[in-house]
Amino acid sequence: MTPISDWRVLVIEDEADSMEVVKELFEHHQVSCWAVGTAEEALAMIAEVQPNLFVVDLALPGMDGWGFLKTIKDDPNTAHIPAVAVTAYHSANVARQAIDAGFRAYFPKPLDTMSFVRELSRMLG
Amino acid sequence: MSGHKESDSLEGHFQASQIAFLRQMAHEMRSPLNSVIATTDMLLGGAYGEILPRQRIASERIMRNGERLLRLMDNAMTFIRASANGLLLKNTQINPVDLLQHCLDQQLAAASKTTLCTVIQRGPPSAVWGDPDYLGWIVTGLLSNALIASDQGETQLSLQADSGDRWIIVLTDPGVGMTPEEVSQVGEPFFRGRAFRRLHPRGCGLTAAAIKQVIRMMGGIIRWESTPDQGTTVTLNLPLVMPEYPG
Repeated sequence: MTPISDWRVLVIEDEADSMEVVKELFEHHQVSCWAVGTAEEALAMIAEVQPNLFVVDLALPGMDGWGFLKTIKDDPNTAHIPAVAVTAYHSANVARQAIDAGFRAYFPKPLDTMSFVRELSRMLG
Repeated sequence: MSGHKESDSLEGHFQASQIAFLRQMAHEMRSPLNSVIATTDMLLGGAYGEILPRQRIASERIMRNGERLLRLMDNAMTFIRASANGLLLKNTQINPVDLLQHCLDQQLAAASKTTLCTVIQRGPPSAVWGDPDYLGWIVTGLLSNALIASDQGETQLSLQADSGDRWIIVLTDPGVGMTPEEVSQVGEPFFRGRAFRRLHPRGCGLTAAAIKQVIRMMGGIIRWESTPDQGTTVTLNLPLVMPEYPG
């Protein structure tokens, strides 16, 4: 089990306020968190940050969240790192597609802050 | 004939473009609502330090209204999608007794009053096939309305097998009820009974309309019977196995 103090979360979210909300939520729980606005920036930061969790907005400029997931799953160095999807394009269909694609969990916006952290704790445990 | 087909095709195209428009609108609303609701949630949870009692009351008001906007948007999207047979429904095995009891427990926990509810089973089917999430959403929505409508007395939820391949959920509340004219309109978008509106001024009348469309997609029928000041009975008649391609 990974204690919450050892989490290293890389958040990819292009909407500034939503990015701040997720960062503040992790900071409130004393989780180390880095946040970037594009998938390309995230890919460039992986070696430096060494994350053990990705929080990925599905709708991103440039490479989207689906493309980011495929890229990290295709790379043996990152294939083992869990990624969870966050999206405002919420529907049962998108939720199912996200899990089928390989996201470990799916969270519609607005985030339920309590269940978001609880679910991540369960997942990383 | 070809004129009809062309007209149908144009109507279908118009409907599809409306759904795409609403889907985009829902996304554009969810993003700011994420910031409003999640930030307020953290504020109330103490993430930004201790807040004063008056600040708490104001924050709770922001939260309540953010959630209200979210519900309105979700109900509108469900109504539109189900009306166009475009709602994606799961088709999995469900224990109906467990599902209804779960909905009841959740509603009772959330209710501020202690109106007594019971689940009565009259030979219920041990398993049905359908979408547990949407079925739970339907029962929860109807129960919530029943509890709002009833200040006191017993709200009853019963389930039973119907002839052959169908099953029935019956929800009876001893609440404010509706006139015959109102009963004929319930389930239409934005319709709300006069007495109910007095008890619950914040609703907008989309929940029942969305529920009616989802039940239709499930191959079911919903019927309201009511008498002013005596209460309302809602009957859901559903197939034991939800159709894959409902008409």
